[in-house]
Amino acid sequence: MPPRGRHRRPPPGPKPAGGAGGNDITGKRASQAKNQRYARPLPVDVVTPIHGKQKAKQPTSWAQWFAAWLPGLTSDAATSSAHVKDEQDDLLVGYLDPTTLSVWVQVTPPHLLKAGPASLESQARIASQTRAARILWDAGFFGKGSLSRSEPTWRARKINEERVKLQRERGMKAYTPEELIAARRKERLHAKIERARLAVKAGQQLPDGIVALGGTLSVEEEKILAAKAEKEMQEEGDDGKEVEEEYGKHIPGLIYLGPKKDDEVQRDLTPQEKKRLEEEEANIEVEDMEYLHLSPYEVFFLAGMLGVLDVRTQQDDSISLSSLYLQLLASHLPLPIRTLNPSSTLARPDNPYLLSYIVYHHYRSLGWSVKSGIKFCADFLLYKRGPVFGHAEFAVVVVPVYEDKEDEASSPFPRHPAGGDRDWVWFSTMNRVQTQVLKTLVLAHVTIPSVKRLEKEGMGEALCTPEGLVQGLKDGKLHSVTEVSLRRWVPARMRG
Amino acid sequence: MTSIADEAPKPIGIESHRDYTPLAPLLSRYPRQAGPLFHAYHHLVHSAAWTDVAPVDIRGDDESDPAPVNSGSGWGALIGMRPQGTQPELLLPCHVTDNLSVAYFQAVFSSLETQAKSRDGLQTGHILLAILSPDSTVVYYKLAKGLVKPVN
Repeated sequence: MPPRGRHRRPPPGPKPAGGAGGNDITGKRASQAKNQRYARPLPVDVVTPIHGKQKAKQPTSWAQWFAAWLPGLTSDAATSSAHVKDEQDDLLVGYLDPTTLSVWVQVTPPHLLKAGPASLESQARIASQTRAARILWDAGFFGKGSLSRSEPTWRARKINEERVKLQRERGMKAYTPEELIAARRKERLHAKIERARLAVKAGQQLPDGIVALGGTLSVEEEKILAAKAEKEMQEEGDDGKEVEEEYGKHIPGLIYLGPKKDDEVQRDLTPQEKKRLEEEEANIEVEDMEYLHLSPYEVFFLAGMLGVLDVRTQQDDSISLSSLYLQLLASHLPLPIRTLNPSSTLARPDNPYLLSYIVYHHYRSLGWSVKSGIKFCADFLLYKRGPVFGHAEFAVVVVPVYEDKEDEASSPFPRHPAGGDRDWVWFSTMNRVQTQVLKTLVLAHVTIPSVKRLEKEGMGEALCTPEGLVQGLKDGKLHSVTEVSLRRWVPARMRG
Repeated sequence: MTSIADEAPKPIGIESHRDYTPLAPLLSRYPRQAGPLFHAYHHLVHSAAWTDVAPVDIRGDDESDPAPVNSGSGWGALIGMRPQGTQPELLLPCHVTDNLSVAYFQAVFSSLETQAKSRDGLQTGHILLAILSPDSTVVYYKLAKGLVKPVN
């Protein structure tokens, strides 16, 4: 329990200018809205063939779910297939970008420029986004906005910036969330520097802390630093006090510096001015520069495994699945030489795209939401429900394991960063970031089948087609994934 | 109710995007680096609010290419000014799967000196490395020449 007065909560600051006035849904209603929006784990519907109609309908009660399951147990496979498409489930369209072998999905319909009247958040989103972008994100968190951290919100943020500008012109106090975050960070930094100064004066901390935070040392503090250094040199032989012991001690008289109160009085707008402002806000024009970016793994999962994505070329022709698969197998090569390599070389079991895809598919099929892990120095991040519901608990690194050592020697692909013999230094490095952010590192070992064994079993051509790949994986004759999870254990701290 | 969202989709890609025109010569010269170059430029200009971002070819005079064959690296870079910055910096885009050698970075730093002669105020003490992930995330790392004590 921190002593009273040490961490006083600062008074609430100015609120950000989000969407429209009065649509702040918070608390229980917000989480209900979230659960409703992200109800589907995948962009496929379960067909409910009750009453003889094949209309795909979202079951809304447990009785309907039960009725949907029961015929599936007794009737034949054709009617109980979960992937029956009907007119409501048109294929989602995306365009292949050959440079990165990703699929681009339009977020805002091309001709929509004006912001429109500020309405409730969900209605505004449905009116201004394409169906494909909405479904891909809402049902399974597929894709990433090219100019956003997760969901494509660039146009909404730009419109909000323009709104704030208009409001400021009329003398209203308005802030974008980004400005507020930057201001809070600055205040926190100043508070930390002041606290470090007070701690140095109290003799509890080295002045190094001030410089590391970006502050400057005064003459007094430099004298303290010199004195401390001398003392340490004299005490070198003894067991000097650990710096860590003094960290966290209560420093008498230290207060938390909150944000300054704004003394300006805000003038209220007349109804005519309000109406003018609303009209101007509705006429803000922003062209969408962003698109929804589907990574190569998501592309193959959606187009090949689920069959909900129609991948087209820049000339608006649909690409066949086998052609898409061969292009993806060559994704590690630069565009000009991709077609030069024959499929026999590319369709080897240790193809780097295949290895990562198999791990992606493995966790998706188990119900995890799988996103890129580059920000945490891993290959993938696993979310239980999705990025909007909480932080990822696991970071996955793909580790290839060869069944036959000769395949490793004859491999035409560049050396995998996690392949070969690894020592404890490598483990430590891999786990360093995960320890800081309290995630568990999962080493997903992919066993690469031996080329000789596959040829003996008549599966030499299995990897040349996506159907062969799926059949081979189902039969258990191809790759398999084994996980080893890692968390750093420090005996001194983790007793009991 | 037919909503606007039900219109037929139109093709989108790097070549039909607004950001392609200033980058076109560099993208065709260094095809391995095309993806990282486009995405770094796209992100800096529209999201990170960098100003005066210009593509630049930093290949040195000698024809030797120390970057290994399987690496996606090239000699395309971007020079621009960050929002609260005072001097322009060099940004080098690459793939997350690249193998970049020390010789490559040494060559980059030496060509940085040459660039600084024609560009006023270009920072020569460090470069920024923009690493592209398959899901279009770009992470930035600051690479300085030699040991530098970290200050916030």
